This record gives sequence, C-alpha cells and structure tokens, in this order.
Amino acid sequence: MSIELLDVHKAFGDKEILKGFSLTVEDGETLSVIGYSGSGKSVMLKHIIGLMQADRGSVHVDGKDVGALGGSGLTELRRNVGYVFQFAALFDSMTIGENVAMGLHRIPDMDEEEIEARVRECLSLVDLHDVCDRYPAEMSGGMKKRAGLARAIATGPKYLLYDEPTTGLDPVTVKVIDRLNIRLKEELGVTGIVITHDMDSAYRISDRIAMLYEGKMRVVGTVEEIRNSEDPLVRAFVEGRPELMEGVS
Amino acid sequence: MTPRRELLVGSVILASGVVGVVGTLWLQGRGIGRTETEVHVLVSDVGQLAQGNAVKFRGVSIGRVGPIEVEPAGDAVRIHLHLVGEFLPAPDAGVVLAPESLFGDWQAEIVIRSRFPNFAFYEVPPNRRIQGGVHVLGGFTLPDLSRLTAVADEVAQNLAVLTDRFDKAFSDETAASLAQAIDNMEELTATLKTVVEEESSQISGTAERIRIATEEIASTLTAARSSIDRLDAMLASGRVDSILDNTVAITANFRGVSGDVTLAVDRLESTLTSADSTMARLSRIAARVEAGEGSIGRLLVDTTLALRAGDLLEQMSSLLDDIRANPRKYVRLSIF
Amino acid sequence: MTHPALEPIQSVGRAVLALVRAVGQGGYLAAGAVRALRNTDIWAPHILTQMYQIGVASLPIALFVAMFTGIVLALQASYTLTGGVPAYFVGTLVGKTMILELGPVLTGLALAGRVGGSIAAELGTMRVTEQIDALETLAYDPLAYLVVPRVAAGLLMFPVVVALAIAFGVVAGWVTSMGLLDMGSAQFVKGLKIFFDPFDVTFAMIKSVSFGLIVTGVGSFFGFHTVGGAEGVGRATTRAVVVSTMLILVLDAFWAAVLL
Ligand SMILES: Nc1ncnc2c1ncn2[C@@H]1O[C@H](COP(=O)(O)OP(=O)(O)OP(=O)(O)O)[C@@H](O)[C@H]1O
Ligand SMILES: [Mg+2]
Repeated sequence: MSIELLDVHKAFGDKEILKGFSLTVEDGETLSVIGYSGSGKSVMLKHIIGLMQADRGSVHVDGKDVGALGGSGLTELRRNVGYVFQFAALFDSMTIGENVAMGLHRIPDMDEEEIEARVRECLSLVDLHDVCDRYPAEMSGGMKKRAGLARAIATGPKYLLYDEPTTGLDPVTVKVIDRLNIRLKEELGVTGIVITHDMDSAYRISDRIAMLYEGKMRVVGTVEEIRNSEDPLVRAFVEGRPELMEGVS
Repeated sequence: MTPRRELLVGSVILASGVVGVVGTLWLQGRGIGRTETEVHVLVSDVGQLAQGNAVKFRGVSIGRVGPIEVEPAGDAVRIHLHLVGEFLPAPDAGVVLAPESLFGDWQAEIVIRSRFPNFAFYEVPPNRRIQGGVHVLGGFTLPDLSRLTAVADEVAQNLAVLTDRFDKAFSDETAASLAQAIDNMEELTATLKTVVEEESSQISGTAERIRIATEEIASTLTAARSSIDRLDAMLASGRVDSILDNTVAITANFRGVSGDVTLAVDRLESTLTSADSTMARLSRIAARVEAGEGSIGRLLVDTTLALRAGDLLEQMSSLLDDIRANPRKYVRLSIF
Repeated sequence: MTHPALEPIQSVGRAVLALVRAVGQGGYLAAGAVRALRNTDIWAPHILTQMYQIGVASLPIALFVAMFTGIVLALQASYTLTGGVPAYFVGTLVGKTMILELGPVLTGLALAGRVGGSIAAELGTMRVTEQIDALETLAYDPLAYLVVPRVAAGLLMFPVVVALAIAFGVVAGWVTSMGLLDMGSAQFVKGLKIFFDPFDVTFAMIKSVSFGLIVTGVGSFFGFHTVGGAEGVGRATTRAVVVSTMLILVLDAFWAAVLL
C-alpha cells in the first residue's frame, strides 16, 4: 500500500497554501520534500496523518481516505504512522523516557519492562544516552529533536513522516540520523516522507525528491533527475543560487 | 509521589465527607451514637409547627420535631418528637404547640395537663397511649393570633348587623317588643360581664383566653341577634337614632382593634390607644343612655341595664390597663 | 467596503456570529468529551493527578478566602444587626450566607482563577507547541487524555473543597464572634442552628458541582482553541477566567431562581 494525495487544496482564511496537486509515495520508498520556507510542506504532511483536513481533494493512506475516517479509524491509522514534529513537540510535563513510552502504552500486551527496554533502544538509535529521566526543558534543541524522532519510531510504524528531522543538528549527528532513516527503510521496509532543507541529506536518503512551490508540486523526480534538472527554479533552490530565479515564473 | 497523592486526595475527600455529614447532623440537632427517645403526639391541628422545631420541657430544649403526618383516618395529626437521651413522659403529660418567637418559629412543649385546665388537649384513647413502645401524648394547639382576629372580625360583623336591626327594631316604641329587647340586652351584658370578670381575675391570661372570651361574645351576640330578628318581624321600619350611628362607629373601631392584635407587641401601645377611644365612646354613649337621651336611652332609663353596662365598661378598661401594664401576661409570645 | 454608518450594525452581527460559533465549538467539545468517556484506559490514570491539582492544591486559597469571608461576615453582621435584633443572628447570618452563597461562589471564583486559568494556560501551551497534535499522532484522543480527567476531577473535587471552605468560614466567623464581638459560643451556635435546613447543604453542593463543570470546562475550551503563540496563551487564560467568572455568577442566579 502507499500514500496518495489527490488534488489537495488547503487555505487558511483567504490565504491559499495548497493549490491542488497530486503525489504518490510508493510502498517502501523514501520521498524527500523540499521547498521554500512557508511553502506549505508541514501543512501537507499534517494532512497525511489527519491533523488537518483538505478543503478539496483527498488523501489516501493504505487505501483509506484519511479525511473520511472517524475517531477509531483515525486512531487505527495513527498506530501505523509515526510523525516527527518540526519542533519536536515533546510533552514538557514528562521526562524523555515517558515521552518515548507514550505511544507504547497504547499497544496492548506490552508490559512495563518491555516498554522500558524499547525506550532505551529507540533513544540509543538516535544517539541519546542516559536522558530517560530528564525533562525536555533540560535538553538542547538538537537533543529534543532526536527524542522526538525516537518517540515516532518507538511503536515501529509502517509509515514515517519526518518534518525536518536533521535541521539544526551538527554534521555528525545528521549522518547518524540519515543512517537510521536508511536502516529503517531497508531493514523494516518503512515508507517515509522527509521534509528537509539539506540537499546532501536528501540525496543520501531519498529514492525520489519532490519540490513544493506556490502550492503545487514544481517537480517530482529521482535524485538523478533533480540533480540534472534544467528548471532554473529547482536549480536555484538546490544549488542555493537565488540569482538563477530572476525572470522565472 | 503517587501514594502520597492518593493519601492526600483521599484524606481531603474523607475530611470533607465527615465535615459535611457531621456538620449537617449537628446543625439539625441530631447526634451520632446518642440515645434518642421517640414520643408521638396526636393533635387535631398543628398550627405552624414544622419539622425541625424545638421540643421543650420546663423551658429546656430537649429535642426536635420530626416528621408530621395526618393519621390514616384523617381525624388527627401525628407528630414525631425526637428527644435526646432517655425520656419517660409523666402519666398526665400533654403537649402544647405554640409560637416560640415572633419569627414564625413554633415549639412543642411537654407539659402537665392539669396545669392547663382550660386547654382542650386531644384525648388519646387509653388503648393507644403506648404504641410499639412509643408513648403517644395528646396535644393542644394554641390558636394563632390570626384566628383571634377572625373571631373578633365576626364579632364586629355581628355588631354591625345588630346595629342594623336596632335601627329597625327601636324605631317604633312598642312597649311589648321593647321589654323583650331589654331582656335580650340584659342577657348579653350579663354574659359579657361574667366573661370579663373571669378574664380580669385570671393571673396568667393567654391568647387562648382572649379567644374564648371573644367566642363567647360572638355566640351571645348571635343569640341576641336571633331574638331581635323575631322582634324585627313584629315591627315596622322607622328612623335611626344618632346613638345608633355611634354604635356603627364603635363597630368600626372594634374591627380596628381586632386587626391590630396581630401586630407585634411594640405596637400594642397604639392598639390600646385605639381601644381606649372605643371605650371612651362607649362610656359616652352609656352616659347619654343613662341620661335618658335618644330612643334607646328613653327605653332603658327604668332598667338597670345602663348601670350594668357602665360597670362592664369600667371592668373592660381596667382589663385594658392591665394589658398595657403587663402585655406578656396576655400575649404569650417571647419575641426573642 | 461598507458605509461607515453601517459599521455598528456590522459589529453586532459579527459579535453574534462569534458567540454562536463559540457555543457551537463548546457543544462540539462537550460532545467529544462525553464520547471520549469510553476511553477509560486513557483518562482514568490521570484522574488522581487532576484531583490533586484541582482539589488538594486549591485548598489553601479556598480556605484562605473562606476564613476572611467568615470573619468579615461576623463583624459586619454584628455591625448591621443592632437594636432589637438578637445577637445570635450573627450566627444565623454567617451560617446561612456561607452555606448558601459565599462558600460556593467565592470558592468558585477563586478556583476560576487558579484552576480555570491554569488549565487554559497549560492546554493552550500544549496547543501552540503542537503537543496536542503530538498526542493525536500517538493515537491518544486529546479530549480523553486532557479534558476528561480535568472536568471529572472538577466535578468531584469542587464540592469537597467547597464543603471544607464552608466549614472553615463558619468556624472563622464563630471564633471572631467569641473573640472580637464578646458573644457567647452558645449564642452563635443557637443562631447557626435555628434556621438551618439540610436542603441548604444540598443546594451548596449542587452549585459547587456546576461551578466545577464551568471552571474546568471553560478552561479546557479556551485552552484547546488557543491560537497564536505565547500571546495567544495569555489571551486564552484571560478569557477562560473572565468567562468562567461570569458564568459562575449567572449560574448562581439561575440556581437561586430554580431551586430556592
Ligand atoms: N494552523 C494554521 N493557521 C493559519 N495559517 C497556517 C497554519 N499552519 C500553517 N499556516 C500557514 O501556512 C503556510 C505554510 O506553513 P508551513 O508550516 O506548512 O510552512 P513550511 O513549508 O513547513 O515552512 P518551514 O520550512 O519554514 O517549516 C505559512 O504561511 C503559515 O503561516
Ligand atoms: Mg515546516
């Protein structure tokens, strides 16, 4: 199964953010989404897990229409989808350990010991050690981000939605996270959508890359296709050269 | 952390439960683990008595009034009294229901019936004096001041009718009918006099006594009226004497007096002033009657009735003086 | 766009629409919370914490308010009831007023600030930092996880806090009467008992349960619908306190009209 967005429109008030585009993410594939800040990447991602509803068009995950799912259907879907928030969104009244364990408590038949073991395992996967009893306020931005990733992968979801998992991390940790992404895809067959501003990282982890521009998908292609794109807008973004954009619509 | 919180939450809830239950019981005047004696009272009417009112014995509060229900037969009301501790009522015990204060609160007082010979206590049949171990006492409800007023109103009405009759009856000065009228009046005043005499000699006059007095006045007047009705039939209608006009005014005044009785004791003074002027008027009329003025006067000069009326009025004003001096003797209300 | 003269009419329309929308959202939230009651496994573990937060932790402020209310009632009663009115009426006045009115209402108002405000601020912060969204992505119903335990704890603990506050206030009035007013303890107790009606307690408890619902419900509502960062959280908190304060007073009048 897969993730399918069909002609998705979304506006906040009279500000149109998503202007109708379609996108399919195949099973076991990792797709990176790039685009200018404020172009609606996070908004798009939230539609997939049902945090936002499309004004027009539809989103299908595992063949189910997310917008039409009721409470229990949505809960069921969310058990299979992990979401890494752009700003971590850790529960600040809980320790890191409790944060990571949150999703695990929703799994029946998992006892406290198993949960604890799983929490440690996930935290070490993101290169965090001995932070179980710390509160989010006592951690750095990058550490929080990784804890958020650990929380998302803890339940072993089939789909992982990453909202800028590596932004703000040091180069070494970026590599660790990228390697984790690749491992999840290759070993567990996880389907992923990664929002990123880091082109090197995108090239490393993606099967395909899509660029969101002014509410539509400007381009969707393999890493090679993006690298060799003739589109000045894509090149301006990928190569970080704003001068290429002059005179382009 | 959790066990401590459980402890705190639990103890706060328990504390409030205890405070709520114990406080409510305490304020209701009940106790926990205290022995309680239940006594029942049968009475024909409870007046304003309500659940929760105080039960007194020799002036001491010894319990609370419990549920009040009409007996299945509908001929009496059963009042449950919840008394603190052991209590064995005397064989001659009765219960007087009366106002405790001017705020409308009533009380049930357990008394010895022989001390209140005038009170018509409910007679509990001997076989029902103890039911299931509970003593059943007969009760008597003191009339409310409002009832006194009703009776007084009736008296006033009767007086008005009487005046009306006088108007017709005495216009024609027929000797035979006059004699009969005089007889009737004599009868009336005699009764009034004895009543007033009895009342002024009572040491602990009560509202009840006033009620009995007014009731007797009322029935006497009714009797008088029926006599005069007969008289009326024999006589043709005629003109009115000015004295009769005065009688109308007296009637009105009497109404005022009876209305005022319901007011608080601090207004007794003005009530008495009003009564005073009624008395003054009566005396004036009596004086004129004695002097043989007017048609009634002329009719009565040769009888002792006028004298007796004067006598009666004197007694009544001394009674009023006494009421003024010792209001509590007559108005059995402890305001506070 | 519109003629300036029509602006006032337009603003009336806007206000009514906003009110209708708020009532609708409130109803939706309430219905959701009722539906969320099914998810016992989500909300039950948090009841205790909330009972502690809303009940036990609110006791100091509630008792503080009640104590001074009792003292002031006793002093003012003795000041007002002069000439002819018996001294024991101080007890009646303190008891009746504490039980029927000031105990529940002042506790309700104090807790509107303390409990309602903190619920709105907490849920508001969670909303703007996407913690509520995060709960959803972890397959938790946020209504079951956040709103149900708070409202349930409010319903359970408000009567508890109010009962203790009433008792404390009456005792404070009692002590004041004996200490400052030169009044006998027996007199105060007589006044306390003479007009006591057990229904008064029921009335106070009904009121405090409804205040518990209002304070926690309104706090949750504004917290849940917070938009716009730290400023939004501040706005939500203020609104929660203002609205629940007003609703408490309206509800107070409502109960008095319906039950007394
Ligand atoms: N809940 C919301 N209400 C109103 N406007 C919103 C909301 N969420 C997002 N927006 C608007 O939608 C636009 C896209 O936001 P979004 O967060 O998707 O950007 P983004 O592409 O993720 O940017 P970045 O790379 O900086 O994270 C922004 O202009 C933002 O102001
Ligand atoms: Mg974003």
